[in-house]
Amino acid sequence: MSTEQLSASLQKNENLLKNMFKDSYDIIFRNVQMFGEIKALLVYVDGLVDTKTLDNVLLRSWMFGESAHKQDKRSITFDNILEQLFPIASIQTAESIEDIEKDILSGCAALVIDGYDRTVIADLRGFEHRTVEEPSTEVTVQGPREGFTESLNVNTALVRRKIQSKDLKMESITVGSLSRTTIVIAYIHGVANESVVEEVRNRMRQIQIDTVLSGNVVEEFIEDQPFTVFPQVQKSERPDIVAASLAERKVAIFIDGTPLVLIVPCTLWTAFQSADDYYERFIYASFTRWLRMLLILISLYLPSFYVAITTFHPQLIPTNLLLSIAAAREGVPFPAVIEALLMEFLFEGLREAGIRMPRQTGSAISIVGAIVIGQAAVQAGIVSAPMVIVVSVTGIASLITPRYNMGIAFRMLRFPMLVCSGFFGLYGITMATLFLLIHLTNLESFGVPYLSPVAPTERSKLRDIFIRAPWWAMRTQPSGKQGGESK
Amino acid sequence: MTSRIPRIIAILCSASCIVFLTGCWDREELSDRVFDLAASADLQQDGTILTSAQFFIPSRANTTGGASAEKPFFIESGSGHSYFESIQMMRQKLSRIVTRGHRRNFYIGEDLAKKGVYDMMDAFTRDPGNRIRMDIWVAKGNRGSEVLEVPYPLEKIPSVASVKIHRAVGGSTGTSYLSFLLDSSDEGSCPTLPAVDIVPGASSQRTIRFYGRALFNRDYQLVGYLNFIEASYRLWILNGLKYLDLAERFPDKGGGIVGVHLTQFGSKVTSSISGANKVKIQIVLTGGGQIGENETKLDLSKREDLQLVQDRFNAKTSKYVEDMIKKVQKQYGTDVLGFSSTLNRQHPHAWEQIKGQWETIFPNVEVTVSVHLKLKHIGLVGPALIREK
Repeated sequence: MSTEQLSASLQKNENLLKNMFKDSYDIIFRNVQMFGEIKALLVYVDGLVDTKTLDNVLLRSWMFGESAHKQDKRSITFDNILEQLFPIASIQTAESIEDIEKDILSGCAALVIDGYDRTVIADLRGFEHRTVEEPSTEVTVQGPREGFTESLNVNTALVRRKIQSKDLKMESITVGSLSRTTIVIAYIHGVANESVVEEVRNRMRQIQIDTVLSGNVVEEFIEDQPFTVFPQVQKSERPDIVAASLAERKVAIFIDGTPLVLIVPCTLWTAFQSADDYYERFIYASFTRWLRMLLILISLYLPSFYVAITTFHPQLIPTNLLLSIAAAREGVPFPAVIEALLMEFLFEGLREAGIRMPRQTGSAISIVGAIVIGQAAVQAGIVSAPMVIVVSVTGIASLITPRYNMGIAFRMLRFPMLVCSGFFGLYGITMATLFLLIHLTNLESFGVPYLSPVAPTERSKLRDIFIRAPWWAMRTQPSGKQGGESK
Repeated sequence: MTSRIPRIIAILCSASCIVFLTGCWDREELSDRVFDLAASADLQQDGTILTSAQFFIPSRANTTGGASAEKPFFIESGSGHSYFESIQMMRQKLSRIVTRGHRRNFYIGEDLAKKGVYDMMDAFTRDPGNRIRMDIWVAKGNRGSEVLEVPYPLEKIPSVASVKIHRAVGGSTGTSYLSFLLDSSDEGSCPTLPAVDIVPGASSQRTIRFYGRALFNRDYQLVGYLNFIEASYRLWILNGLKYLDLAERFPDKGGGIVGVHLTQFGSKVTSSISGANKVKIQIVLTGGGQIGENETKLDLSKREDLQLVQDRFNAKTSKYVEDMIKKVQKQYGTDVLGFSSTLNRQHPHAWEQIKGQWETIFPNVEVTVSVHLKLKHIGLVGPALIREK
């Protein structure tokens, strides 16, 4: 890309720009005359520019308005135009072709004025975007209903409305050589850990990629340990979660074009914390948090535990239960572990199909799923009824985590756990759990241990992990000096 | 990245070590196992041992409802010159691997018990499949295999019944195998086992009854039985009783019966040794409970009448307990009352002297029993309601 400068000749500039944007039907070149005197060229991208403002505010005032300088044409200088003739809020100037190109493509309108080698860049960004809606992945019963949109400045504004402090800093950075996506690093100055902010800045700068189309791209570049199923970056669609995280000394990363905001550092415990916890009474919120922990453990262990005790340690089952299970399993042709793997795969398949298929065919999959998994397989004697119970309980439990990406980790770990239990019984489960714990204690997210504050233990911060302490006990300072990370 | 590859290899190596080093490969599907829910051992006429077991049939267990005439279990047996051999013989008839983890009951036929169960117990204790919380029973006057065959209408698997009966009458279940082993290893004391017998039920069917306690001598031979009430007295002395119903006739007060229901028990055994191996044992039994019935003219809301009842019960019960102890001492000569361990505890030095002769000393131990009952509730009515009219 050349860093060519504009010349003073409008004709030359026009040719230059037209040449640059050749074969692009959506780039509009429009020759205007300001107050009937000054020749100018307006360049913008159709669809990115708010044409209503352009027509009503800019063009109308130039065409019908009276210029104070009408008497003396020569008194109209470039600075006059900047200062007086642009009745919109955000303007700046650009000289190099590269800057102009970048601004036009990002949705600004460029005004090239005859006789000047500078252009006025008017920020008229007004492209179509989704309005603020209720988030779909993080639903609350009683909390605020607003969720992020694909538009960056709407998102930052939503957070800014929640934290009206000058200390909320939002640094902008452009990533992606083709997409030139704007990314905003938000943190509260004086609250967020400066080393984490610096680390985020560094890692963002090192991203070398053409296009950034989703948060996941950024996530995979900046995470500490790529070879793990555990997400080390929290994603949220909710301004309230982002605002709370900022107050908890974390750093938020806004990416233009995606409604998910990344929050770092992230620990395992976020898997159990839902936004709703903080909008309910703390006793009930603590109860549901325990419920979630229990169910996530169930989703991880139940199928493998069932396989282990039925095939390795039937002595552990109470006699009457064993007799029922043995009666139900009689005539099932597969070993329990194969049966479990089969059903778990089937469940995951159903879940995936439920997301992917068009909404109109929705009822088909649930009917087929219910009949195939629920009844026909049992009646045909291919699958035992206790296994159906185990798989459905696991299925329910695996979808309970409020953080979708954390849920994926636990759902995936179920399968290796199942294989271990199928080979080694409870011994295998214990071994797999040990490996899992070793792995978890090794993980870090931006210098923060993944299991903190439980391991390493920081008693004062445990109040928001296993229980949701009442607000007055949890945060004595509104700035959140006791937020969730160490170092 | 380069350092990752050796690490992965190391992890794979250690993981494969887990496979080969542990030998932990006992996976067996439920449909490849057969569950032995109760078993029995008997001495046959020709001197061989007959082992029978009640096996669960999973495919028949699902047919709930009246239509299923087929029982969800079957009995298989094998005979051999030893307990172990007889099991081998039985296995030859079974299509699946026997799993004993859920065996709760083991019945020993009376003949075998009289001959002695030492060899059987040896094989028993060597088999890790036998769980320690199992109940071993003596089939009084019967063969163990017959007990297995008695149907019990309330339970799907009849062998569950004897455990439940035992629990329902206030005994502690799941302890008889363990306490048998403990008593046998305890110097001086003799092992006991609970006993069942087969009696005619209300209908033409036979049914299992919890009889009492079978007493063994130091050679693991059956010497006799204590019936249900005697066994309860023994448990009272040993502090293992949960509840007990007593009834006493009062001929001088109208001839009726007063029944008491005891729920709190205490026992204190003190011993003394005076020269020439003369051992004295003093037993104080305490109990608390309530009046269960009153057919007499006594008005139990009056203090003196209640006192009279208490005194009568104390005197009578003391006598019964003494009778039971005498029976054990003179008739069977087996210390199943824990006297030896009491002596060992209370007079360790003297016990060292006499423990070799305990079998001769025990029948001549002088025992005094005193019972102190405290009847706390007399029910909702004072005098018997009907008499008052």
